[in-house]
Amino acid sequence: MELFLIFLGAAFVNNFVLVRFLGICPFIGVSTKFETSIGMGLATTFVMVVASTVTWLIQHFILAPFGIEYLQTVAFILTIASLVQLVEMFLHKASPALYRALGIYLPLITTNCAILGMAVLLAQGSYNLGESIIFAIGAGVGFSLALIILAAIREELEFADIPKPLRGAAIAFIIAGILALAFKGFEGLV
Amino acid sequence: MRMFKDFTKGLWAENPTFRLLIGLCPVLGVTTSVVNGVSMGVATTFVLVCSSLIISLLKKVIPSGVRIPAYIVLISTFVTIVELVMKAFMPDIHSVLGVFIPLIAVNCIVLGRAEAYASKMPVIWSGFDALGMGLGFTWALVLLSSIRELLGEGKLLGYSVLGDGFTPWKIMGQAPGAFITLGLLLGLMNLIPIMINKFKSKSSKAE
Amino acid sequence: MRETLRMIIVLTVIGMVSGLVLSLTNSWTQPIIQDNLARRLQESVLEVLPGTKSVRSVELPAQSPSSDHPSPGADQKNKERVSMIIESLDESEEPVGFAFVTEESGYGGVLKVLVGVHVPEMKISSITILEHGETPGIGSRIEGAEFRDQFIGLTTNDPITLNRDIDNLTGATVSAKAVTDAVRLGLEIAVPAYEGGR
Repeated sequence: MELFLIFLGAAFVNNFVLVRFLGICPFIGVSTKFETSIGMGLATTFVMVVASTVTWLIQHFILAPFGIEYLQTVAFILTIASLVQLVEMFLHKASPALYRALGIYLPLITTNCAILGMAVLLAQGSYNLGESIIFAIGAGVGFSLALIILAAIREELEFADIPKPLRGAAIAFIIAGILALAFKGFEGLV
Repeated sequence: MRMFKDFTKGLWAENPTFRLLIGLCPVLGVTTSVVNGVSMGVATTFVLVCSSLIISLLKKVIPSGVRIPAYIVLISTFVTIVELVMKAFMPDIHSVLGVFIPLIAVNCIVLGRAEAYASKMPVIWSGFDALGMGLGFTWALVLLSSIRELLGEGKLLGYSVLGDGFTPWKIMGQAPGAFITLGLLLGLMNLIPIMINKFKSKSSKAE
Repeated sequence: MRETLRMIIVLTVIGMVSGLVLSLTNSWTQPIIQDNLARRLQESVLEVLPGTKSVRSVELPAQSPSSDHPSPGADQKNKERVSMIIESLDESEEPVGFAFVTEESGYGGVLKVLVGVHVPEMKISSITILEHGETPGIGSRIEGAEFRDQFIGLTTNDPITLNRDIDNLTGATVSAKAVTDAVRLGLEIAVPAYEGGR
């Protein structure tokens, strides 16, 4: 039950994109096509789960025991960057099909602040390893959901007559605002 | 002249927020009040200028194969310095900005300027480029946070401006207000060049 | 080969310089950060235990049976629930009571609650939320006096359970439950710890 609440909290109530403002760049940048948004969402969720596990281990077995928490940002960002690289190499060898589907999104993920944001949030909290992974899955699902919804709406917008200055990112932000309004409905969920 | 151009392009023509659309997470996340916006802008500008200067200085030393990890380490070092100093001397602002301070390290503006400009250009130019970009980012934050604080709380810099008769628009302080305000501002920024062009073509016709 | 060597050397040097600079910055700022925290804590103690003139920290005994294989995270919640006990003294150096910091996971990360307890009757004098990451407007209602005042006068003999002696906050159950659990479980650890530590 508690694990389910953690998932619900990360995916809906405190949605990474629409409530916490993390991962805005890919949210606006990769949301023009429905299909690519699914690929980006999957790749991000995957990296989030791996990154949450590794950064949790680093935080609890290296940074905290030695009292060097001030190196957190440096350590986490390096870990995430090399992790993305490793995932890319591994996918390339192990599953060429999956690599073809997700490969092009992986380099973009290094600078996706949702990943580092998640690692920092987890390090501040007191979740154990299992709870952290559930939190990461929730965060990834929440990010993917917001991205896919926005992409589906933007695809439809291609045929709409939008005032010229609002075309592109401007209207995407206004739609995101309306989505955020809808997600406020989840606040009283639990 | 070159330096002046490097400096000013970040303010308008290549403004990171309104033109390049990068580094938008803090633009939405910390703009509930002007004080937060300014603090975030200054912190980011500091990291941007320091990392651009040092990366430009070391551009001949760092082999291109390990360029990105080297930049990441340098940038996150400056970010951590900013974080520790803020925690020590501005604990209140530090706790409000929270997770967005370590996230300066993955702000696309910082790594973007390092990769696109500082790694190729002379030190002085890189410094001015970074300063312009940082200030361009800062004024965008100030503009957005002024609107949100004014309408969301009826205040500016903590002082009541709109008086007691004004009912605060609570939504402006929350997520939907941030998204919609930024969307409308982007529209406005797109509208200005269109209007200027129209005005120019009209006046040239009149001649 | 020479290129690879150069890469390794450059990265190592950058990493070492960065580590050195950061550890210097850390040793410069750390005392100030600790001072800030101590000052803020003292202000909060004054809030939960009016009449405090000076404070003294009480040694914390081990909170969980020591095990041969300490596994971080698994029993970390109980081990670190109460992170600090502070005794508060009045003008004549007589104890007014004590305050303790207790933690629990809320919705948006860790929730830290400062609980003031009057001695010798061991009744809660007041509680205040030190830190929370709950949703503004919903979960943050735990900060309101209406919710917090329900804890005044309770002791370890009370259930301190949501929907029994503590009224729920509709729509913010997780946050309200986290505070209630933090207070109940914290009190169970802190009262004997204070009595033993004096």
